[in-house]
Amino acid sequence: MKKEVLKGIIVFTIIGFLCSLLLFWVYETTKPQIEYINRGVLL
Amino acid sequence: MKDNFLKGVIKENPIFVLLLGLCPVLAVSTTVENAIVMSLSVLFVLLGSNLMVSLIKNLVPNHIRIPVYILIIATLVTITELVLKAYTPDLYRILGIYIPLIVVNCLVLGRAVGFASKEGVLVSIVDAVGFGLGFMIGIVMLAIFREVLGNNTITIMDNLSKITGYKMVYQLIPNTNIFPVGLLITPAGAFISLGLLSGILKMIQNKRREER
Repeated sequence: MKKEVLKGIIVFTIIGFLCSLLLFWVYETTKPQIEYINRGVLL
Repeated sequence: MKDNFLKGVIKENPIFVLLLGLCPVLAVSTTVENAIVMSLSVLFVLLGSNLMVSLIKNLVPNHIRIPVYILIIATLVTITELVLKAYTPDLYRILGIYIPLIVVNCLVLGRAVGFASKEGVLVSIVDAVGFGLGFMIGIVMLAIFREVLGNNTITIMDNLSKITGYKMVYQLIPNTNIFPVGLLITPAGAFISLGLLSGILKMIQNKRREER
């Protein structure tokens, strides 16, 4: 039981980390375009 | 393989037969353009989640299956949201809360839990494409019905014209006193239209079954 829980925590952490990396990359890629649009809206 | 694909498109169409994920369908089907962008977003998330879930199905312990799947789906939805926000800000504003709500769309979670977590990668991809296309056919049919009868236009590219350079908004026939029927564009009209279209499709299905 303890082993199963530990495995669950490890798998969830690894997948969460990979998902965050992917999201961070997309965020960094789209950031200039979003900032450009926001600046246009503010002006 | 072919059966898996056709199941999602016709036999178990998520909108008209299974009645799954109706919240964005009813809210967003006011124009064809919104319907196309919404269905493409759902198709992307469905395809990505089915692919990832079928890849990691043997690694994930049974008791944390659903949190892991939601984590994957939420990541894909956030990617969709960021891309829409960056490249089509007007559509992002119009679709609003319905893009983040794809995370809890029962169609996406249902296919991940009910199919991709048990089957192989290729079959899961085919299933996702079938159900994604079925969703697209359903929402676009509803949008055409509502927009043509409720507004007398077909908007294929209006907000998207900033990217594509083409504006495609057509008026079909001249307006009269009784046409277009404005009710169909309202939320109540969405329920009425969905009911009518589901009924018509069911009638066609029953007739075909009787002929056989």
